[in-house]
Amino acid sequence: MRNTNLSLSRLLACTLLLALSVGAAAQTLPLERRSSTFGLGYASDYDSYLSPVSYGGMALAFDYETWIRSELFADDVFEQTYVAGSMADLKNEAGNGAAMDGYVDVSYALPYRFLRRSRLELFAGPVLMAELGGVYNMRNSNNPAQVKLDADLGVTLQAAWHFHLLRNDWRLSWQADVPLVGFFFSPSYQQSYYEIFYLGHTDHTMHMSTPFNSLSMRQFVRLDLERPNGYVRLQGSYGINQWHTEGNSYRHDAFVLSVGYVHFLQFLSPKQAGL
Amino acid sequence: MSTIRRYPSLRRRLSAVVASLAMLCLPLLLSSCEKADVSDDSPVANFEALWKILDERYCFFDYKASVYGLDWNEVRRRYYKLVDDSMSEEGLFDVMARMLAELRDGHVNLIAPFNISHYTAFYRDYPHNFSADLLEQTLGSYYRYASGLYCTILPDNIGYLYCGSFENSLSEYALDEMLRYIAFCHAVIIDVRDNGGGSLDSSERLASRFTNDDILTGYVAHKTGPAHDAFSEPQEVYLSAAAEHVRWQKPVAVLANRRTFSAANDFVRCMRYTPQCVVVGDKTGGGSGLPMSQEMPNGWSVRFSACPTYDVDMQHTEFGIDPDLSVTLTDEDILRGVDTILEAARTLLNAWEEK
Repeated sequence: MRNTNLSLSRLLACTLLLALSVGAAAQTLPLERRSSTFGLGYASDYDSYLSPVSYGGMALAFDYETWIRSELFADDVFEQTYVAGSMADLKNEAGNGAAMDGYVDVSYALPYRFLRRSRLELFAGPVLMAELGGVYNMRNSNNPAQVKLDADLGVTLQAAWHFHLLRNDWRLSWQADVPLVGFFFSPSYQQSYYEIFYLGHTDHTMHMSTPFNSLSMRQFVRLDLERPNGYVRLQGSYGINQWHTEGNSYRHDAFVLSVGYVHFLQFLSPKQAGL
Repeated sequence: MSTIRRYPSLRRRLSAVVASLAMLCLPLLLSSCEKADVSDDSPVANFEALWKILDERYCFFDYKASVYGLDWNEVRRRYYKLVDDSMSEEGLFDVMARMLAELRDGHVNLIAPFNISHYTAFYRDYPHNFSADLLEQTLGSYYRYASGLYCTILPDNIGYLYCGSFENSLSEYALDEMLRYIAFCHAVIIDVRDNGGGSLDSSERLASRFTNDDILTGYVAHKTGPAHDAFSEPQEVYLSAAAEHVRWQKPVAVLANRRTFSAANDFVRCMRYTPQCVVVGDKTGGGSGLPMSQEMPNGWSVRFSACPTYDVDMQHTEFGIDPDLSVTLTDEDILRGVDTILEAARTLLNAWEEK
């Protein structure tokens, strides 16, 4: 029986590279941190192509983040990947118009830890951000929806503070991602989707984004409570994505309060795992 | 043993810069947010918002100024006098609807929770030139119906297709089957009288069965800014032949009336450039602008022509397309049970066949 269990565990180890959960401190072991959170919040959309009126309503959001010390660079460079999905049910201010939005965000960052004290860590680095989504206005005729597509290179600024309170270890962190240059999709002032997608007249639909025409940002404040196998996470996030081009203005902002869990994983080779 | 690492002062300076940047980010964003372009929700503010939406986005101001002297600023002055903040919603709706009627455009609607305005003078002021009873008589008891199309074969071996709307997507399979059904006819009549339009995709799908080559049928442009004359360079619009589907190779007559509007008007525009096609009946109702929607602070929405389309000579078809053969269906004809427009088309197609 003991041999059977051992064989089974070896098989799993070879297939999955033996992901072991350990509850040690992040800064002393080369661990991968994986977090998943679910949240509720409030989203607001303004898109002059669809309506000169803002729409707002409840938003549902999910995000998944991984964080690991990079093997490609120096010890103080980390790799952070982030995937988020959200959708919102929106109403106009008069309450007689409805819309929906949905977005998927993906980003990859290389934050560099340029300051490390016993409790405080500060990071800064480049981030590649991409978003795909759309807004659907329930009653518009030939312009019922807007596709949202953008990709940017920006900077990420992060800070983490470790403290002990009420006999528990806590970690409070802040992150801001600011896109600096990239591109986004937008029809011209009154270009119809019939022209773009049916007739294939796609001129002037891709635009370069800079802080001058697309000043956007997303911020996170995370409070992590250390538990034996990871962190319980309470996260507040605020993101604003906006642009102005060819007479069209767009703004999507959302505040979401989420809860989730952070796992720490350590990947070992079969040799390291003693197999 | 302490694990704290000592960093050079450069890093301290960098951290100060980063902290400063972070503090700057939020105020910068808050001060530069894209904001909704609305004022208060009073009747006057809503009237102003409606006028401005049209002023910046409606696409036929210059054309209609040249045709019947439309002056949108003058229209505002005239109707603004009728609006005050104490008026009822119904009263405001009535004034707004009358102002929009000045555009003489069937694509312009004011949509409130309790009413939708329509401009109907483009057909109401003209003979109807169509009778549902005569259509029933033409179809008889044995006809085919699929995908919104009625199909029968007339006694003189002419196929007859009635398409009353392009609201629903036309099925390629249904089109194949109907064209196969009338394959042995020497000509076909496509009746789009009273077809108020719908999807351009559907109208072009039907038209694509009447050409073997991709043909230029017109141009489309869009507004590039709020100025009345701010338009993009017109782009060519081609009607593509329906490859791998049944295509008609014989003469075609298209029947139209003043209620042939929007996508149906576009269908007639495309068919004019197909080989062996003749348009019979009355002038079409027009409606050549692609409609879009916007809304006012009170949540009412307005639909309007946003992107102009042109024929191959860069002429507007907003006020309709003249038939090749003009025929009127009078009340007396209806009482006699004779669809004179249909009969004229049959005579023409039979003469074509004899030649």
